Amino acid sequence: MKPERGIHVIKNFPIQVNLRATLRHLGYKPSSKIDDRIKGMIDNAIERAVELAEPVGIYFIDKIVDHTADEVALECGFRIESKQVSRLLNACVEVVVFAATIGPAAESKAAEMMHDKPAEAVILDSAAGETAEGAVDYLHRSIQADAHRRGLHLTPRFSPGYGDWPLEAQRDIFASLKPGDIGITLTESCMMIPRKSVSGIVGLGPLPGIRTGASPCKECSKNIYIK
Amino acid sequence: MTEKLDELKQLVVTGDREKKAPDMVRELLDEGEKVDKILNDALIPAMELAGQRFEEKEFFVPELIIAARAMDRSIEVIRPLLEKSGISKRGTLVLGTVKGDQHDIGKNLAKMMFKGAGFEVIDLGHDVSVEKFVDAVMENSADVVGMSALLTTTMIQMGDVVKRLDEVGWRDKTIVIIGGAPVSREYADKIGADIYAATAPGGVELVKERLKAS
Repeated sequence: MKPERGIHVIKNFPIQVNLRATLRHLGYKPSSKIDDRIKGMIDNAIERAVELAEPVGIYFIDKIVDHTADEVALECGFRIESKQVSRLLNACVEVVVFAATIGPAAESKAAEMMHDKPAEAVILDSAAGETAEGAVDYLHRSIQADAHRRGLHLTPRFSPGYGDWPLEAQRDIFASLKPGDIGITLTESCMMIPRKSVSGIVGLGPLPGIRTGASPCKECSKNIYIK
Repeated sequence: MTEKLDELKQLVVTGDREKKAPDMVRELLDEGEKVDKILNDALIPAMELAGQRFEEKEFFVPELIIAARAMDRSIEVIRPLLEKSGISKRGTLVLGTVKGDQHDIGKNLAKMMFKGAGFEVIDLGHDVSVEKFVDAVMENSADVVGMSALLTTTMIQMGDVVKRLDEVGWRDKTIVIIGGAPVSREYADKIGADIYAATAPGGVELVKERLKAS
């Protein structure tokens, strides 16, 4: 069943890249000393990743019809089997299912540079990952503006592969959201192509009650993607 | 001469911005320095020091790669001599990202670090099948096989490689090292891998220890 309010696509929007997140991705702590040469390489890589980005996002918003400790079901039939997601969606009334990508150009450029300029290549790849996160941030900000008018607020986002929501849940997202329409495909091993893509869910609900702020990933003991 | 070896070591550790390291290697050779001294007293210690700084969080991924690149450029100068003089490499490593997985940044970092430590590295790239890993181990009589995975859906392939190595009688002859975001020490134990490497330089040290002990 299709979500009642339809699937929305947004294209060609501005992206802000979080420098701190890019540095964290490369292993730096806020207190780490970074020499000017490397700082310059990181600034260049962010600029380049943004230049090469062709951002596009897709999402739908649907009502929660069933919510237990283990599972959340939406009106369109989309189901999330995860205790952590169920907790994250506490007091939420709707869920946004989304995917966004910056396209293949930045990751291709990084792969091309790997042989001769490996440091620049790795930095560009990290910057491209954060550029994809920046694309999702834009998507969420635009959803947030509309949600606020309806008296709803957003939870942090959560993606398949985080915590107890298995990576295989990507298949459910792809079946209902159809990100193929914006050029994102899923491999058999549930990897998104282009790699610099992000998919997941965000809860919508009234304040007080819903969880906002820090990502629930921080409380996950597995924490495999944030080390 | 020792001073120059020290200088070369420093150039490699700090990333050799002006690309002077290969010239210094040539100079040392012209002055009659032995190739094994250049390798063992300057280049390899330089990468060891870079790796140590990485483990101590003084260096991060970019600094480490910049040092590895300087090392690589320097090694290129002495490679023909190393081959001619029969100076033995530390070992042969077959390396790749498992099938279904196209993430290769971590694998490439491991490649640079192992090359920098004097290993011959057979890089199979990414999306590497079980058979391809096992065939490469046998063809190259590899001392070590290194596998990387970034997905929970693909890391299971690592266990299949271990099983297949066992079936063809190569498990005892090869050290198996695994790395990547979803894998862990516990996972390495579960699938029967020898080493879990949380970082590329850490992996090099663990393999060196294991080879020394065997």
